[in-house]
Amino acid sequence: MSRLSKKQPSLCTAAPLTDSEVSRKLALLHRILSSCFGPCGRLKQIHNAVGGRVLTTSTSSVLLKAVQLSHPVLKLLAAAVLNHTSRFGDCGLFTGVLCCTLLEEAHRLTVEPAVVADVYRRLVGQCGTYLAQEDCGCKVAVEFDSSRDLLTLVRAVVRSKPACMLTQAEAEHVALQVVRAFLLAVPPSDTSRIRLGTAVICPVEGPPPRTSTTLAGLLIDMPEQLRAEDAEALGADLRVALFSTSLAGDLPNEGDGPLEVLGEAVVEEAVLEQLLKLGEQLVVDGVRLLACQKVVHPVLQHFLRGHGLVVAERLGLALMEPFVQMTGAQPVATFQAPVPASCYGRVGGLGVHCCGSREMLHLRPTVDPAVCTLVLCHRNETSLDELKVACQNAEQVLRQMLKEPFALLGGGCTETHLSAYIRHKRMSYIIPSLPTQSKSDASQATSELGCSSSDYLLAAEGFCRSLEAVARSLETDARLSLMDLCHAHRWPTPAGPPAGIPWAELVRSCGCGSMSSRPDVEWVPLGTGHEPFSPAPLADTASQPHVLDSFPAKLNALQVAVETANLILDLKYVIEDKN
Amino acid sequence: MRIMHPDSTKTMRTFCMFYGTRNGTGNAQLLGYGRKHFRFCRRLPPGITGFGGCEAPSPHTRAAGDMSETRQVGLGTLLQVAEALEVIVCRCVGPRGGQVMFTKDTGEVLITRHGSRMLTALLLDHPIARASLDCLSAHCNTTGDGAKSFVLLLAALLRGVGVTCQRQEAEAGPRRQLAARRMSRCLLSFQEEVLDCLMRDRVAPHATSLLSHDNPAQSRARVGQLMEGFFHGRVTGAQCKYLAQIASDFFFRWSCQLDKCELLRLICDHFLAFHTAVTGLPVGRSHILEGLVLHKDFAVYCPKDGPLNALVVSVPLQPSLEGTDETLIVTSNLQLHSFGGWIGSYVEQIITSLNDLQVKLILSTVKQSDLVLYQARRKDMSVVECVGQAELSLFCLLAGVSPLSDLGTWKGVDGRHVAAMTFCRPVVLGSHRYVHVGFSEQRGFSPHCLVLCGPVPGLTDQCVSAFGDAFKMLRRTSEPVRWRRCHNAEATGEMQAVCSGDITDLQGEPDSQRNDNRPDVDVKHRVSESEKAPTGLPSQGHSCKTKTESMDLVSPQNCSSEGHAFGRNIEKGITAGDVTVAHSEILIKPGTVLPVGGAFELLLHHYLLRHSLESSCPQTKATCKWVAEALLNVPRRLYFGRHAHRQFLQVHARFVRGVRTREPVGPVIDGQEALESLACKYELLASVLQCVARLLSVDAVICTTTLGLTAKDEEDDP
Repeated sequence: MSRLSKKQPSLCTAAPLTDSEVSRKLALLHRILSSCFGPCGRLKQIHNAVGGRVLTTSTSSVLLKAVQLSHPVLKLLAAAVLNHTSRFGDCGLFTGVLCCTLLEEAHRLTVEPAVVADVYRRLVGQCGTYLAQEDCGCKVAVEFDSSRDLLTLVRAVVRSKPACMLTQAEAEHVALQVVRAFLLAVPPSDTSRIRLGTAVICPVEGPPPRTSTTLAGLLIDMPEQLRAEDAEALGADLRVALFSTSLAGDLPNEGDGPLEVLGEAVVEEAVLEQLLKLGEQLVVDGVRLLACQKVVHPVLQHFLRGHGLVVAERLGLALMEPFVQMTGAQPVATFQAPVPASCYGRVGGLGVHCCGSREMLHLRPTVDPAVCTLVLCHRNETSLDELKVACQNAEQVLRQMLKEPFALLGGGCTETHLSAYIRHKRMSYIIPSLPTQSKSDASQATSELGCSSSDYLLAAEGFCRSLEAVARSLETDARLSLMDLCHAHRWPTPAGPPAGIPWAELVRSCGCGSMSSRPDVEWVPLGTGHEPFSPAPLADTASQPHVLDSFPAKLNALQVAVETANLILDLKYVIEDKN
Repeated sequence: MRIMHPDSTKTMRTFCMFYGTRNGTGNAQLLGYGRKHFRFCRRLPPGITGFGGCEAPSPHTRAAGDMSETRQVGLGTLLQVAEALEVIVCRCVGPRGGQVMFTKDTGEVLITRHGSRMLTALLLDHPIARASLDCLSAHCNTTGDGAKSFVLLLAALLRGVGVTCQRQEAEAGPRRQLAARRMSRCLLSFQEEVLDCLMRDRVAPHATSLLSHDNPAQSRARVGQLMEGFFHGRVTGAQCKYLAQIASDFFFRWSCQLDKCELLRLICDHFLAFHTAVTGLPVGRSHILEGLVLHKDFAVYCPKDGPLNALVVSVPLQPSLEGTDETLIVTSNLQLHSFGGWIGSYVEQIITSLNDLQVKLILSTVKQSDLVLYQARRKDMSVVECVGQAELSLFCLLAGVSPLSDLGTWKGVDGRHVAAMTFCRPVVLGSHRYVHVGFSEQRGFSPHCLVLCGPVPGLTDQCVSAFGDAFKMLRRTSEPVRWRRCHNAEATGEMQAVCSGDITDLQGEPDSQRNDNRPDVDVKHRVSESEKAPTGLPSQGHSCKTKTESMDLVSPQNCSSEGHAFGRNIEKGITAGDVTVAHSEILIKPGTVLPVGGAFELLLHHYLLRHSLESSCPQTKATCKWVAEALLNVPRRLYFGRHAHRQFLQVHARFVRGVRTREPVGPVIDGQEALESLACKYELLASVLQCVARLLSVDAVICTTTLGLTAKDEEDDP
C-alpha cells in the first residue's frame, strides 16, 4: 500500500481541431501519406536512433504500424486506416489522404464543423448510391472469360508499391504469378468442393524476382538425408500419414496425474516400443510419406527411412490446414492406437524445387489442385517483405472481387469523376433550368440537414476539392494534372512541359488508360474549378482501362474516410489520461 | 455545526465528507446515520475547479486523529462545482452535441457522448464533484440514460438555491447555510407531496403509450422513435435513425410469447453475449443475425447442413488422473501400453455413443484433449472449445438444456444435455471467425443477435455501450413506476412544520434528545434520511425493498451495500415504530412516452407554476417555482446558434398554448417524431432532487490520510 501514488489529473483539451499544433501535425501526416501515394510515390525509411532494422516502405499498413504518432487525433486516424486495410488490403493510403484533406477543407471553411460533417455524410451517401447504380460511369464489371481484368487489378496493386523495387517486366511477371495462384485456388466446376483453396506464400531471399513462380501443391523444407533422386524415384500417387501429436517419445498424457513406476518398467522404452509398433504398421500399410506437425523420434525416423519412407517433421501449425486440404489425410492425434485406414491421404508425387540456394520438397497434389504455393523471390529482405505484403493484398482484392464482381477505374479517374458528379448534383440546386427532380434533391438536402444553402454549397465544394486533391496527389514533383470536361477523367502530364504547347499534344492517355488524347477533348487543370457538367460514361468499350481498383475496398475506404473525418470534426474535447 | 468523532455518528446531525488526499486512493466518505460509504471519482481538470471555492478551514473544526484538515463547504462551492460540470457537459447536449475522445497512455481510445463516462474519464478530484458523479452513475445504471440532463438540472437547481438564499440573506441576515439546509429538507417532502401527485394526475395523461396490443405496426414505429430519441443523445446524428431502426428490429424480431419485460431483462442481462463488435467497417454495416454467435472459433469443423444436435459439456471428455488423489502405478511396459490403449478406446466409445445420439456439435467450456478432437473429427463432429461461461449459460438458457458436468453419470446423457439446433456454421465477422448457431423455435421465441460495426475501436465501443443502455432504458420504460403513499400525515406535518418557520431543531438541538422525545418521528426521519441515500436512487427504489412484489424495480447493479443496509434499516424502523406501509400504487403506467425536445420539462414547468398559484403554503410555493425554473434549463440547452433564446421562447409559448386539454401532446418541434420515456425522466428528476438535497446538507469536508475508505466500500459489496 505504501507504493500507492496519487493519480495525475487528466489533461482536457477543448475543441482540438482549432489548435494550430494539431493542424500542423495533421498537415505533416497528410504530406507523409500523400507523398507515398501511387506508383510515383516516394519511399519512407523508418529506423530508430539506437540502431536496429531500417524499414523501407510506402505501404500504409506497414508505415502506420511502424511510426509513433503523438496526438490522439492522429492515432485515431491511423487506427481507422489500419482497420480498413486489415479487412480489405487495398486503398489504405487513399483513406488516410482523403481523411486528411477533408479535415483541412473543413478547417478552412467558415462553416460550423457539425454542418460540414452532415454535408460530408450526405455526399458520401450520394457517392455510394451512384457507385451502386448500373449506369455508373466509373465502374466496370469484371469479366471472368479472360484473366485480363484480374491481371489489371493485381497489376495496379503491385505497381502502386514502389518499395517492391520491381521493373515493369518484373512487376508484370509477379502479377501474373499472383493471378495464377488465385486461379489455382478456385475449385473446378465438376467437384463438390465449394471452398476456395489456399495459396501459401513462400518468400525466398536472394534470387531475382523473375524467378518467382507458382506451383500446384505444397513446398516443405527438405528432410535431412533425403536425396533428390530418391524423392523423385518414389513414383506417383503415394500414401501419406499425417500426425498432429509429437512422435518424439514423450508420454502423451503426461502431467495428467501422478505416475509411479515400479519394477522393470522403463517409460521411455515403453513409449519407443509403441512408436516402433506404429512404424511397423505404417510400413505394412504401404505409407510412403510420414508428415508430422511436431518432432519425430530419431530412432523411428531411422527405422522408417530404412523401409524407404520419407519423413517430414516440424511442419508447423500454419502448414497443417493446407496439407489436410491437399492430401485429404486426417491428422492423427495418438500413437498408442493403430492408425485407421481412413486417416491416410494421398500425394500425387514428390519432387525437389530449387530456388536460389534453397532446396525444398515439393508435394504435388493428386488431381484437384486445391492448394498452391506462390514462391516469391527478391534480392533483399526489405523489398521481399514489401513484395509479400503487396501480393497478400492483391490476393485479398481478388477474393473480394468474387463477392462483388466489379472494379473501379484507377489512376485517379474515379475520384475526378465522382467530384464532377457531386459538383453537378450540387449546382443543380441554384440553376432552375435543370430537371426538377435533381433540383428537389438538392433543396431537400438543405431542409433535411437544417443548414443554409450557402453552407451546403461551401461544404460540398470542400468535399469535391478533397476528392480532387487525392487524385492530384498521385502526381509528384508539382506535375500538372488535367481533367477533361466530358467524362471527367484525370490526365497526367509529363514533367516540366515546355511553354506554349497545347495540352492535346502533351497528354497521351488518361490515368486509367481507357481514353486516349483526341483533338475534340477539352481540358482544365485539376483543382482550378470548372463549370459543372454531368460526367458522361464511356461510350466505346473498345479501349479497356489499364488500371483498375478494387470496388469493395474503395467504397469502404470512402465511407471510412468520411466517417473518421466526421468523428474528428465532431470532437469537442480530448481527454488524456496521463497515468 | 458540531463535528463528531466518527464513532459517535448516532448523534451527528450534520453530514461531513471524509476525503483522502495523500494516500492516493482519493476516496471520500459521507458520514451520517449508520455507516454509509460511497466512492467518488476523481479530479476536475486543472483550471476548472479546485478547492478554491471552499472557505478557509476554521481552526475549531480541526479534529484529532487522522482527520488532518476540515474545510467548510458553502453553497458557493457547490454551485461552482456544479457549473464547472455543466460547462463541460453542455457542449455535448442534444442532437447537435459533439463527441469526446478519451485516450490513455496505453493507446486505448474511447469515444463517447455519454455524460457519465465522460465525467468519469476526467478523474475528478473535488469531493463534491465526485459525490455528484456518484449519484449520476447510480442513476445511469438503472435507467441507462439522462446523465447530461442530470448535470444540467443539478446546476440549475443549485443556482436556484443560491438566488433564494441571497434573497433570504437580504431579509433575514447571514443565515445562508441554514436556509440552504432547510431547502434541502423541504425538497424531499416536495417530491412526495407535490411531484408525485402532479406526475400522476397532470403530466401522465398527456403521455402516449408505447406498445398497443391491437396495432403492432404502431408499436413498432413507436419503439423505433423512442430508440431514435435515445440515440440522438448518444451517437453522431446521421447514425441515429439507422441504429434506432436496428435496435427496434432486434427487439421485435424475437417474436416471442414471452412477456416484453422478461425479454428485455434477458437482453439486458446477457447483452455482452448478444452482440459482436466488428472494427474496420463503417457503422452503417451493422446488422442483425438470426440465432446466436459464440465468440470462439471451431477447434474442429465438419460442415453439416440442416438441423443437428448439440451437446454442452463443462468437463474434459478424456478421463484424467489430475485433480484426484489416485496414483497410477505401472509395473511393466505392458501395463503402460494397455493404459494408453484404454484411454484411447474410452474416448472413442464416448464419441461413438454421442454420434448415436446424432450429436454433431460439442460445445465445451474447457479445453478438450487432442485425442477427443481427433475422434470427433473422425465422426464428423464439430467441436468448439473454451466457450465463455456466460455465453454457454446463455446458450443453455435459450436451448433449454443443462451442461454435462459429471462424467460419472456418463451413461445418463439424454435430452437434458442435447439441444436441437437448426444450423451451425462458421461466420466471419471482421477479422475473426466465430460459431453461428440457430435455435429451433419450439420454445416460443427466436433468438437474434447484433453485429455492431465501427471504423475504429473507440467508435465501435460507443455503439455497443449505446445499444446496451438503450435496452436498459427500454426495460425501465416498460416497467411501471410504483408509488408509495406512506407517512402521509407525517410528511405533511413536516412540510407544515418547515412552512411555519419552525427551525429551532435545525439550529443545533441535539438530535438524540429530539428523537427520544418523539419516537414516531424517529422512524420517519430514518426513512427520509435513507432517501438521501448515497446511491441516488429514487425513494420508491428503496421503499420497494420492503415489498417482495416490487423488488424488480431495483436492478441488481444498484443493490449496493447502502441499498441493503437501508432496506434493513427501514424494515427495522418500521416494525419498531409500528407504522404500516401503504400498498404501492402505479404512478406511471408501463411504456409511457412523451415527445422529445423538452415536452416533459415544459409540461411539468407549466403544472408546477399552476400548483404554486393554488397552494397555500409559502414554502411549497417557493419550491414549486424554484424547481419549475430549474427544469427549463434542459430544453433551453437544446437550441443553439444565434437565435437560440428566441427560438426557445417561441417553442415554449406555442407549447403552453397547446397544453390546455388532457390530450397527449404533439411533437415539441415540428418534424421531430422521436420519443422519450416518462419513467426515465421522472426518475431523473427524483435522483437530481435527492442529490441536491444531499449536497445541501453537507457541511464540511474532512481530509483524511487513512486507507480504509476503499476497502470497506468493496468488502460491503454483495
